Amino acid sequence: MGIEHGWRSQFTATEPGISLGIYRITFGLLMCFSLGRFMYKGWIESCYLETKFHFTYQYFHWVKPLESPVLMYGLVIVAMVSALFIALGIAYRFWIFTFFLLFTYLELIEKSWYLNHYYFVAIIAFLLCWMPADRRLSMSQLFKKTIPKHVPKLFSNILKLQISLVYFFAGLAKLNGDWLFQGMPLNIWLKAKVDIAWIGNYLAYDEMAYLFSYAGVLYDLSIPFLLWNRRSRPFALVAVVVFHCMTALLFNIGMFPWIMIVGSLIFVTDKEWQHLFSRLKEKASPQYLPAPQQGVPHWLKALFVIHFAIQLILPNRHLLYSENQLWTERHYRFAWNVMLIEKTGHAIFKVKDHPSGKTWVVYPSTHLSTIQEKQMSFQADMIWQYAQFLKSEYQASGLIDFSVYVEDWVAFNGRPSQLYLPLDLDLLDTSEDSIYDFVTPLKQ
Amino acid sequence: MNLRRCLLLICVLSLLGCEMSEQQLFEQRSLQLKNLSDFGAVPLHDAFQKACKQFSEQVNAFAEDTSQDKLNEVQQQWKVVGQLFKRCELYDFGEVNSSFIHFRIHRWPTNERRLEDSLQTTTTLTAEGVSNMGSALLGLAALEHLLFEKDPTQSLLQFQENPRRLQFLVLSTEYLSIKAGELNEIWKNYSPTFTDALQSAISGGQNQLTNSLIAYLEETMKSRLGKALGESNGGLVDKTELEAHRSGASLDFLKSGFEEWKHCFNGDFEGNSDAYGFDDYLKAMGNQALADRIQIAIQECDQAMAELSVLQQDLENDTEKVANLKKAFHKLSVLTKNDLAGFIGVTVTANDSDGD
Repeated sequence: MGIEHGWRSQFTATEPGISLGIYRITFGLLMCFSLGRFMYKGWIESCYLETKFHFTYQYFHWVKPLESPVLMYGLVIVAMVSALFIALGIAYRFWIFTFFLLFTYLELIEKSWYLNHYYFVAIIAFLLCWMPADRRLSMSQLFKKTIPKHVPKLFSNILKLQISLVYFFAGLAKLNGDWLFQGMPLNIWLKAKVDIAWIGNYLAYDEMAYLFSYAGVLYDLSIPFLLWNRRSRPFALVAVVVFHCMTALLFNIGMFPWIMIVGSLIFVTDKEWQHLFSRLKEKASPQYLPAPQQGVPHWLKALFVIHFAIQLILPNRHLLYSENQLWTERHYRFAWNVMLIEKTGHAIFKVKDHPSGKTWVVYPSTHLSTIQEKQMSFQADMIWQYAQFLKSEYQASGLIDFSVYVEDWVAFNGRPSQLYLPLDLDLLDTSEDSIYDFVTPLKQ
Repeated sequence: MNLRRCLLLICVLSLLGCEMSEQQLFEQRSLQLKNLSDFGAVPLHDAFQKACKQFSEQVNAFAEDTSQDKLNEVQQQWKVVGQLFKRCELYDFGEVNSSFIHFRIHRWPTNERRLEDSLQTTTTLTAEGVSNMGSALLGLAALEHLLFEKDPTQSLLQFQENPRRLQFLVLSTEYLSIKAGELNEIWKNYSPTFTDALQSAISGGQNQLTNSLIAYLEETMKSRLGKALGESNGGLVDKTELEAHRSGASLDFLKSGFEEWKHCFNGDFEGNSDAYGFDDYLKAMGNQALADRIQIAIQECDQAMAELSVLQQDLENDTEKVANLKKAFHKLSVLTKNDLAGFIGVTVTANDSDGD
């Protein structure tokens, strides 16, 4: 069974793969439900089909939705089916690749719908593509008479590390002035929830915002370590469930709590699962005989190293700048900045034709959906992108020499609204990267 | 044992303390919604229904006696009805909104060409036929088109020479009166649901009210003023883009709507000494500064409006004044959409998506 002790054993040992199998099942079922919910709520229309213009990600501007609603629905249904087959463990490798590609494609279409947990799902799907997560508890194994091989422990550790990084960077991101010294944005969000039964009574207090803020930081920074540790793991698992159920109750964050609760199951070791099974079934636990060890190919190890190098770089890119990242939102996405800001914006664009001196006023709601407009109004790169869209629209109507300006007022974490970008800034003279340099400094 | 008792006592006292404080905030939310419904929406919709009924009666009298005096009375009452409806527009949320009844009462602009075409046909006009017509051919905007000719001297002549036009006026006014009654009923039935909707979700009363206040300001900037200021055509002012431009009631309509907006914000409806509104709620939440900033912005809108006399003329002769009014509305819109909604935790969206 390759039992080795110590730190090195986490990378070299093998295990039956029960933990990996359970993670695969729960992840697949949750994704199947999540995509069904997405469809049921009518979000295929509002995210992909209702608007002509889409905010795409830098370097992925070529990703476009399919024009046919039937095909878009079809893709989501195929992704759902993939998730179900992942859970069942039938043709696992094929379906996990299919799921990863489809899910990532769906997420890349519209930046205004970016959510940290969608990004997290894409990452987990990517990692699962390279793991034999169907060795145990899968339909395909039912038809095989041979004893399944053990899987390198490295795989479950990779998933644990990924989840730990999410928590850790989410915790680090909370170490900012607004969170620690103003109790923001929880102060706003909790006061809005005084109608909740039982606990609603206490949410109107400023002290509660601080309590939740500090508890959040403490939880995020400590939970990975508590989950890794064998002794503290049972308590940590209870804490995970309590914490995420609480967030589900208080905030409108969709699948995020459930994804994280399910994610924590990977920390339960195969030994612990076997112990649990044996207690449940009174010694009728599955017997996993020793089997030949299986190494991880060097190219795969290299892939994981590259992956984690990227995972370390992305949340730290903002350190290169002295600005308040929560305000400018430069490199804000893909960095586990979870629930840190309450922002609202109000943007109106102006197109000025230089030869004639004529000016057109453009209200973003003319072209954008409610969510697109809302998200764009306080994110500089999206403002730039919408200006590019206006450029193409007005060029098509015959204008040649013109500028695009924006009057954008943004309120952030309870502060009064302030101008986000200079009124005289020609957005067409900026780039997707440089636009952040023009964001006006935050008035404290 | 004593220590345990002490701890227990502290716990009980703190629980009671928490409950009282929270109840204040919760009760204040309830106060605001009840005030708005009982002293704002319900009496207003009642008044609107009565005005529509009177309007219909006056139109019937005019049909009996197609004189200039009677027409003047009808035109005057149309303005009264219109102004009342401009106030009702602030309350287009919840069950009222999902009934789409506001569209049936007033959809601006009317489709003038199709309306004139339908008046040229020979099919018999019936109440049922009129009620089945599209909303762009009915309601206040269509009635304005019938009652106020571009050349005022022609208005009476058109009715005298074209009985079908007169018949359509009678039937569509009756239809308006019926719809006003339905709207009143919907609000009366919806009122308890609204005042009990103390939750912070999108369906919450405060949430719906805030979104309605925002929608009013944005619509004013964009359609009621922006289009006329030439924002969508490169700056060419166009008075025909003003709502109710034929009747010359554009400014009165704007004023009526904004008066109601202020009542909705301040809660100072007629007949209620409590006057509980958003200003009080903000104060209770510890943000008097924001309430004051909004009051200043309201005053700026009032001042900019007071600068105007006849919107149609001001638009052409003193465009800057109209632009200033739009600017004042913009400022108030930013404060409402960003600062107010952000601070009280309102979701400014019609789409309940996830977030993290």
